[in-house]
Amino acid sequence: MSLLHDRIYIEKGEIEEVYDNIQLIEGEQRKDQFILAMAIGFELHDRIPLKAKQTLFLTKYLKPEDEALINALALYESDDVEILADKGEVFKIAEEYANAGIQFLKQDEEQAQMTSFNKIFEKKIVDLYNEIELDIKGG
Amino acid sequence: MRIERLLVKNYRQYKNLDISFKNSKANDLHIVIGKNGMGKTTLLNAINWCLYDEEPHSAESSQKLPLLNINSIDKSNIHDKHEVSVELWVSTHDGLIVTFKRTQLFKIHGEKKLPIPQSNEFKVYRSDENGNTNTIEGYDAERWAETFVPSAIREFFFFDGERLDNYFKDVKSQNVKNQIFILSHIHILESMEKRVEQIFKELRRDAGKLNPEIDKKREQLEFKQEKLKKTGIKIKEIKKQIQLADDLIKDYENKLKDLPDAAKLEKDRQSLKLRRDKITSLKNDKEKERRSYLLDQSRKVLLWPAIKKSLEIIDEKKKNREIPPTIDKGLLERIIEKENCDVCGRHLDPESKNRVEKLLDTVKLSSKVVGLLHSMENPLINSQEKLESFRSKRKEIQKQIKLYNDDLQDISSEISEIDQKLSGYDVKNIKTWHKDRLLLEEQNKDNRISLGSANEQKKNLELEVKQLKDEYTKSLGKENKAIELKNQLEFCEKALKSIKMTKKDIMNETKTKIESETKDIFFDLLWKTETFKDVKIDENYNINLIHSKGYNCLGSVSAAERELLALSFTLALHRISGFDSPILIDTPVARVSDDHRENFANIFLDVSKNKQIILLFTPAEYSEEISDNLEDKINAKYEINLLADESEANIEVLT
Repeated sequence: MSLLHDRIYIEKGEIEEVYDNIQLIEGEQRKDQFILAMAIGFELHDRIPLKAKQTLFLTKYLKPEDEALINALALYESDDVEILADKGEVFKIAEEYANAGIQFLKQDEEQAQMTSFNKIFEKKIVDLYNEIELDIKGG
Repeated sequence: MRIERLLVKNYRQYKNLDISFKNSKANDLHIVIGKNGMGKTTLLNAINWCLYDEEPHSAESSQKLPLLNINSIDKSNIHDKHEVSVELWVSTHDGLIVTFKRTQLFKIHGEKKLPIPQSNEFKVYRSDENGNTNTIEGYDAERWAETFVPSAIREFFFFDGERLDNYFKDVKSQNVKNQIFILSHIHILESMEKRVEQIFKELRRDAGKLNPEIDKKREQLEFKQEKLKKTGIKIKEIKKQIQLADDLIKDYENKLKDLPDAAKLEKDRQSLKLRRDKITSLKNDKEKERRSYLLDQSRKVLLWPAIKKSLEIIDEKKKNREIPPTIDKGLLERIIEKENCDVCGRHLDPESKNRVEKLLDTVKLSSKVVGLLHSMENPLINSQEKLESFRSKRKEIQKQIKLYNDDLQDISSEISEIDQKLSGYDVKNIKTWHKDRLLLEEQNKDNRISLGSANEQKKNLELEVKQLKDEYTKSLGKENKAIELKNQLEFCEKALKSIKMTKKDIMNETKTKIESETKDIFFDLLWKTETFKDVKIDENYNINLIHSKGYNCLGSVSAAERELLALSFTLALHRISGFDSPILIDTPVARVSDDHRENFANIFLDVSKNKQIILLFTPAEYSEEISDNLEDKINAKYEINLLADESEANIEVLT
């Protein structure tokens, strides 16, 4: 089956429900949920290829800043700017990181209570920020 | 005077009762103990019935029962006759024994054995030390009863302790005033006043007959005088209403003095709750903003290495002038393929083709990739800038949330404070008191306006009356025959004035004496020394207890203190009236808390040194606080018992 590059895929089956049920990202748009999952997967250096796919959302909903983040990830991963010309590959990388990220989120949220998971997550982000703050500010 | 003996026959539950109140101790104090419903109040009623042919303390249910003892009715045959009698033996200071005896004959009628009242007889037997007795009957007998305790003021001698607590509410000041009129013999002056007024009017009419002009003037004068009188009554009535409202306002103020302003607090509470809801909503919005901001920024934080690397690549490409694209790679490829220049339209010779191929080699990036890189640059720079302000922005949101939390905590504390103020109070009552007080204040405002206008009217009428009187006197003067009448009229007028003045003086003097006596007795008997400073009685005999801080506090004192004030007032009346009759109190400490019962026991002991006191207690009332103090000092203690079938009561002497 040829894949369309006008949409983002996830693992077929229960994963869409996982996107629905994780309270941390509850109420967020699908594209934002996806990018967060992708970012978490990236931070974990974990990519899980999709065995069977189903559509999560259409890429027309992505904003330039979202596309920039997805492209940046592909660029980082491949170390070749030409990858940007291959939309299929760019989305594939994003989908595989998101696949790992969403499963991690599910697992972690199940282990922690909702309020404490939010706090754990916030602390993790703040810790991470502290590490990279100088870098961000060009120090 | 003191009660020596009470004999009751066939009277309600008392088939045959004979009880002596001998006095052999320093305190002329006697105790009767009986459970509720056994016949204590019946004893009080028996005395009232004997003296006045009335049973003022009967419950409605008992009034329906026959006066005649039920056992006597049951054992009767049709047409049997039974006699109900109560005898009250009273000793006087001059050694006489006066026996008041009322007898009511009943005839049993019909199969239902209805007791039909026959003759009612009241006799007084007067016995001297030598045993000589004379019998007094009819009006004279009733006069003797009035000498013992006047019926008009009997409430101050034989009373119900349950009522003492509400004494100042139940005993209408007008009744007290009227009774004091009787005590002070002011009623005699009132009769005189009425009579002289009548004579005065008759004389005027006589004078009017002499001349139609005089008669016309008389009519005018009398009309205006009547109007003046009515205005005076109206003023009195308004003043009374103002006084009543003032008393009630004072009463509410006393009740509310230490209580929170419930209506205002409720309003404050509502407004705090609204503010709390508003701030909670703002805080929730801020929390959402915080979460959304965190999620948005967390994507960038987590992807920072990728963002950074992309920006570096873009930067490098820019340095190498690969971005922005100067030559379109696709265009060169198409020219080579077609061997024709798309720009100038010239055919491509081999040399030119070779040159274009060399140029293509130098263009490494496709315009699509360059375009994509170019489009990434701004959003990624934007992301970096946002990340730079992550710390400060997050802090700002957190600070705002903290402010909301602080506000919410303050509001919660204020609400708790209000709740605490309101707890323990009957909020509904407090609200009603506030509302009633406002209504009364409004009513008083209107009454004061009416009073002002009535006073003005009175002033004008007084002037008119004065003018008419002068004119009338002038008209009389013209008539020789009227000279004698004129003199008589003048005399009547002076007499009337004098009577009114005397009445006023006596009323004031009596009031002052009663006020002073009540105050002396109250402060002498009171167990507190600092709380109150004065007792005031106004012209309408409303009693006010003045707190040491200066305000009227009658409405807020304890039941015990109110009862003591009532007792003091009663004792003051006894002293002023000169009636040295005994006091009989049914359930004397029913409304008094345990804490003050000992005080009351001491008060009874104190009062009983100079006056006979008969107290009718329930067993619960005759608690340790009372009995420990009274037991050794009382002359006798009696107990009322019911027969097994509860149809009859008798009294047993305990000590």
